[in-house]
Order: sequence, then C-alpha cells, then structure tokens
Amino acid sequence: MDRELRRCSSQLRILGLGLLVLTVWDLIKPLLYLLLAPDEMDSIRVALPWYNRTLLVITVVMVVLIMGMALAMRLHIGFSAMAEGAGKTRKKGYVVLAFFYFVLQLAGMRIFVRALLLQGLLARDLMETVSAAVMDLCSVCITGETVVTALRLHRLRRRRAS
Amino acid sequence: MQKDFHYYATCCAALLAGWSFEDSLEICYSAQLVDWCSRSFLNRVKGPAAAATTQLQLELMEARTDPVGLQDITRIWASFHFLPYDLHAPCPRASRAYRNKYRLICRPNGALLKDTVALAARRGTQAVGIAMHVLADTWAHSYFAGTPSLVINNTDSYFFELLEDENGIEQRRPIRFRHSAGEPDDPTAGQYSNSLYQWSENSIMNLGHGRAGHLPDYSFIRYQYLPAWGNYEEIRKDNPADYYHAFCQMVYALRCLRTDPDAFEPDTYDTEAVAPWADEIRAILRKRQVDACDDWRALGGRIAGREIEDFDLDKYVGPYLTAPKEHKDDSFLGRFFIAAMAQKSMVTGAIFRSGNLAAGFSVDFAEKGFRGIRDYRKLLDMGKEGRT
Repeated sequence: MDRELRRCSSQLRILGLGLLVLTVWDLIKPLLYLLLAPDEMDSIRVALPWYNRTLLVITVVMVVLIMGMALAMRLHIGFSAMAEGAGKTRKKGYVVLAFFYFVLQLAGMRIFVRALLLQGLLARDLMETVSAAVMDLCSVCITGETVVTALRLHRLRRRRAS
Repeated sequence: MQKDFHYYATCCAALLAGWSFEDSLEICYSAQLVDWCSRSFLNRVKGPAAAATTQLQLELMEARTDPVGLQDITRIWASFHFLPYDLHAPCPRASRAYRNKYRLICRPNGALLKDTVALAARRGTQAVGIAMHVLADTWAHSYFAGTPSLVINNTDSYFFELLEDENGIEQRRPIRFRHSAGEPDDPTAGQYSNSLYQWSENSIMNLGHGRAGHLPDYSFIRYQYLPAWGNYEEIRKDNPADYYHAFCQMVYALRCLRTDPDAFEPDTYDTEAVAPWADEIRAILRKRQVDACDDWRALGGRIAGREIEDFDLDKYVGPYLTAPKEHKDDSFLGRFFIAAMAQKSMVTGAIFRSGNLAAGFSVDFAEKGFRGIRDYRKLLDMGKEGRT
C-alpha cells in the first residue's frame, strides 16, 4: 500500500504541474493572438452586430473577468494537486472544482466538434484546428486523471489510517 | 568506496587472511590504483589505454555520450565499480533498451563476482587487488548501474537519512542535496552534494551513484530512497552493515585466493577471522566522518605490528618507465594493466554474451583470429603461452 500511495502522490504532483503548464499556455495564447494576429481581433470586433464603444468595453471586461476566474480556478486546482501530492495539505475542495472544470471541458469539446463538422473549419485551417484539438484533449485527459488520482489517493490514505 | 576502505581496509583484510605484510601492501595498492588508473595516468606512464579502470571527472566531462561513447563508459564502470548482479534478470513489459540497462544494476554476490575472483587466482597480487576493489564496490554501489541512465540511476526528493535518537528510536531526516562541488559534505549538519539533475537519459550526471552523491561511499550512513528503477519501492541502505559484510567477504576471498582459489563461493563471510577485531571495525564504520583513513591505518598498524605507508600513485611508475619493452609486462604496473584488461574483457564478454550491447561488442580473439584493439593482443599471447 505504501508503494501505491507513493505512486499516486507522485502522479498527482505531475498532473498538477501539467495543469499549471497548460494554464500558463492559455494565458500566453491570447497575448500571442494580439501580438501576431491583430487582424483577427479586428475582425471579431467588426463582426459584432451592435458595434458600440461602451458595450464593447463592457463585453471585453466581462470576458477578461470570466477568463480570469477560469484561470484562477485552474491555478488553484494545479497548485492544490501539487501540494497534496507533496503531502503538504489535504484540502479536498479542489477535487470538486476539478470535476466541474472537467465537465465544462467535455461540453466545450462537444461544441468544438459540432462546429468543425457544421462549419467545415477542418478543411480551412487544418494545422490550427488539429493543434487546438490536441491541446484541448490533453487538458481534458489531465483534468480527468487529476480527479481520479486525487480520489484514489484519498481512499488509500483513509485505508491506511484505519 | 573511497581510499579508506579500498586501501587501508583492504590491507587489513589481507593481513587477517594470512597474506604477508609486503603482499598485503601490494594488494591494497592495486585495489586503490583502480580508482586512479585513468587514461590520463596511462598517457603519462605510456601504458595501454585499454587498461583504464576509471575515468576522472575532467575525462567524464569530455566523454562522448553517443552510442559508442556510452559503450566505452559502460565497459569501464561496469567492469570495475558497478559489477552487474544478474545479466539475465527478468524485466517484463520493458523495452530492450531499458532491459539492457536494468540488467547492469550492481548488487553483491552476483554470478560475475565468482568469475572475478576466479580470474584473479594465480595471477599475482595486482589481480587480487583489482578483484578486491570490484568486490568491495558491489556492496557500496548496490542498486546503481555503471552506465549513464536517468531511468535507472536517478533519485528524487524522497531521500532520508536514518538516525537514532537518544532513546534508540529510528528517525528519518530528509536529505536535501546541494550542488556545490567545491564544498565538502558535512555529515553533522546533514548537508551533502550530488550531481545536477539532467533530464537527458544518457547524461554523464546520471552515471553510477552520482544522483545520490557520495552517500554510498560513506560507511557510517544509513538512508532510504526511491530508486528510479524501483517502481516506487523503497530501498533501505545500511552502510555500516554492508561495509562489514564487504570486509568479511574480502577476508574470505583473500584467504581462498591464497590457499584454494577454486573454493570461493559467493555469500560467504569469514567472520571468525574478523571476530577479534569486530568491535573496532564496527566502531570505525559507524563513526560519522567522511574519511576514515586514519582509523583504518591505525587498525592496520595494530594488526600488522608495523605502520602502513600511505598510498603513493607514483610508487611503481619509475620501474615501469625504465623497464625494457620486453619486460614491461613483468613489472608491477605491467601486471596491473594486464589484470585490468583481463577483468574488463571478462565482464564485457559476459555482458555481450547475455545479448546486451550496452558495453559494446566482444570478440573471442582466440577463436576468431586477432582483429581488434592491439592492447588486448597481450592477453591472447599470454593465453597461448599458458600464462593466464
């Protein structure tokens, strides 16, 4: 059992690190878009039917806030997983958050796949689409495995304590 | 292991096994020379490069880690410092590359140990000294492999020193290695250095027990860690006990080599001969010090009734350099070089015959006709003359 405990702890540490790395990537990605593809951002702005400066500002602020909350949640999950893997803390709330995030990701992937099939994005931007799909799939797998490993670790520790 | 055990402790073991004082000095000199006979030393004395028994730090820094370079490194380290325990160890669900490295893991009392002692029989004190170095290192360097490999030799933050408190209860103190080659280890403060973590599988930093620092070479330390190959299984290393076993086994092996070389069996220890000195030896092994040379030298002096001279690397260099070419092989260093090549040839051949290419190809020159490294021609010629 000790061996299994050590394995799960190590796994959780690595998964937490993986989540953090992907979170950092999700922070860098929009910045890269802004720097390298300003036309894309422009086209998004122009596509809004009610182009209005105030509404745009409000929209941008809300998007940033929601993205910030999502990133903060992922950072919390990542750090908590790493801390639990290192044996430092036993907070369990992050597991619930991780599960919630996992469900959101699955829903997001479903929407992504439908958009691919209906809008034919696959044919237009193959490399970008495949890259995005791979990253999203990695993120889903890591989050799912974090939930499973954290639960397994909790169960092992309970068994050991009893 | 270090000079304290390879030189002074080996001398003590030889004396207890009944060797004369002069022969004991030659044996322990040869045992310690294994840690110094690098290509740089061989260049200096114009000796055969194939007789290298070690690689100095500077040489390792310049060593190539392509497949040929790795085989060269493995040939030296696996033959003299990390004798493989089981070249046919089962390793299910593993790639061939991993399995080849896994099978190089060193532990005491392997099949190759018997071959090592048998090879040293009737070949002179130099061969005996080399065999004793190899034997002793199988105890100290257990669970590491003599090839650069992250997946075998790596360690992580799960590393604890085992100490006893004032009530005799075992406590675990975490060891946090530092990477400061210039600063000596401080056992009192529990500060030790190790090699830098390198994620590259074949980095030199992952050779042998570098990732555990010098801990395997300290006789006093007991520690617990997770080896990379262990699948999260803990290893407890009790150096005082292991070193005592190494010493008793050396005494037994030396007695066999002096009286009846064919009688040597692994996992046998001459505790009887060591018994009168057991308490002193255990006290030396348990004393928290990074260098026990003074204590071992004092013990050797009491056993022999004479002072044991310090190790002098250049002691036999002059006679070797001045010897005529046809008699160089009969000099002390000449015999040492021959014995080293024989040991390297034996171990490399065994690794190759097990289907493992980690130490490169090994050709039976006697069978295939000589097409190979010129230095090894000596072994072939001596074999034909019946001198080996």
